[in-house]
Amino acid sequence: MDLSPFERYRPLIDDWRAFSAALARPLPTTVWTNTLRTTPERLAARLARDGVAAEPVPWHPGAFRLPAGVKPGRSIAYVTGHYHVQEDVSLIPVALLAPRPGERLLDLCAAPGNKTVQAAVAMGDRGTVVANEKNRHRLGVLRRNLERLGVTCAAVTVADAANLPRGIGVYDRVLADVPCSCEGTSRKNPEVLRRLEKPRRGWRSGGQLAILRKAAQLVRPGGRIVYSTCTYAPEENEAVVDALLREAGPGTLRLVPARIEGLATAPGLTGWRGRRYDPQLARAMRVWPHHNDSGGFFVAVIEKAAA
Amino acid sequence: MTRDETRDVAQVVETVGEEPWLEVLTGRFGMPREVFADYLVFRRTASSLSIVRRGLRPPLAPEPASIGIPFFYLGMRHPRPTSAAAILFGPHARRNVLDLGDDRVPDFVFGREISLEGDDAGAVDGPGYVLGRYRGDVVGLGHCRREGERGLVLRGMVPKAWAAQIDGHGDGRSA
Repeated sequence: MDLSPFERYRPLIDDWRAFSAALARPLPTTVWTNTLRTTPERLAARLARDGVAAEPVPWHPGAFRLPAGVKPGRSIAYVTGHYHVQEDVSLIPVALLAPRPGERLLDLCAAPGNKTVQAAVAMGDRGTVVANEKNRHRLGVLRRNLERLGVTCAAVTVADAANLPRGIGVYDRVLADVPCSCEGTSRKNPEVLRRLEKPRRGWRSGGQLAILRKAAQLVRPGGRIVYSTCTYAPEENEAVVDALLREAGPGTLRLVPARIEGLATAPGLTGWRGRRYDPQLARAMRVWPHHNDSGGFFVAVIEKAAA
Repeated sequence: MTRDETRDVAQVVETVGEEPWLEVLTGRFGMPREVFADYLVFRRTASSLSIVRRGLRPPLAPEPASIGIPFFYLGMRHPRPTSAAAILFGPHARRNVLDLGDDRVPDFVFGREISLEGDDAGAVDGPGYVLGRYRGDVVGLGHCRREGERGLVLRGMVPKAWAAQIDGHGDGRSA
């Protein structure tokens, strides 16, 4: 496997050999329990009865890793919404967003809806979930996930997240899981490596900052934003959050530590290639594939100062 | 102070009365009326209804492309719940629920006829809609009809697109 597109990150990675070895392995499959419909215990028993040795994900209650070769999307229990299939690092943003029943939550870039349904289930299907998606062609999969899991507290809107009008309202929690260069998904989408070989990778920082800026406008004072990507590039991670913090000015927004017990992570960067970032970026979370046998991920948890 | 840009979902959708959906769900399946108290049923299209949890406050703008989930089909002789609704509310059903074992669940899922005899026939109040249950969980809606000497015959109505996702044996053993 040609890992040359990731050579630029070698100084950031504690064990290059382990990193390379992890990327060469297939990505484990993870499912999580739809607690609107069943319990983790019942799901575990069901999997065991079918001969599937599911292993609990230690840092996420109700989630299980399945052995290679199992096709969890082809069972009756899946089709009837008892569980959802989702890469485990992809569970992190909503876990840190920590929505509660009755709150208002906005998912700015919602399709295919994995995190939307995860949030709605965490809220006990009570409150308001607005799932916004720019691409009308991706609404089908988003709606199917809502239906399959029995989520009835959601409205779907179609708009460019960066240009949402004020009429979208104000939210307790805003998820900005933004489009990115997807470097961290190479284990499940090896073609991403070929795209990264091009001389101009095309960082999407401008669009990401516009979306994050909108998130900061729409979250209520005292509310929480989670900014996440599935890429290693500091240009799309720390640099974007740093730009927002600079724009907002001191005392307006602050990063809170993004940590989950049982999940091995590295802190966000406070500098990269001669650029300095706000020291708060050390509170962000980097997930390297070899630390948890997962994909790569970045998450920053931002809170807006109370009025 | 932040201005509230939202509105109650009841101001956004065209709510409908209780007929005929409530009759099917409380009458045929014996679901308690209170089960639906937390929900608002509204017209999605001329021939279908959707359901949304009360308390949702959708945005003023942009206009939502959809709210809640599909709930009921009206454009047929015998209106019926969607499969999503059957699975959502099925656990509250007290009658016309048929337990399917490993041997019969594939037939139900893939829409093949199942002859109901003995106790099975007794579990069903004659022709009409029936919920299929497997391992204690409702897996979908079926329709039962009387067919001469064969007696009651059930055919599952699991959407083809859903069934197509399931491995051939249909008993969920892939996970």
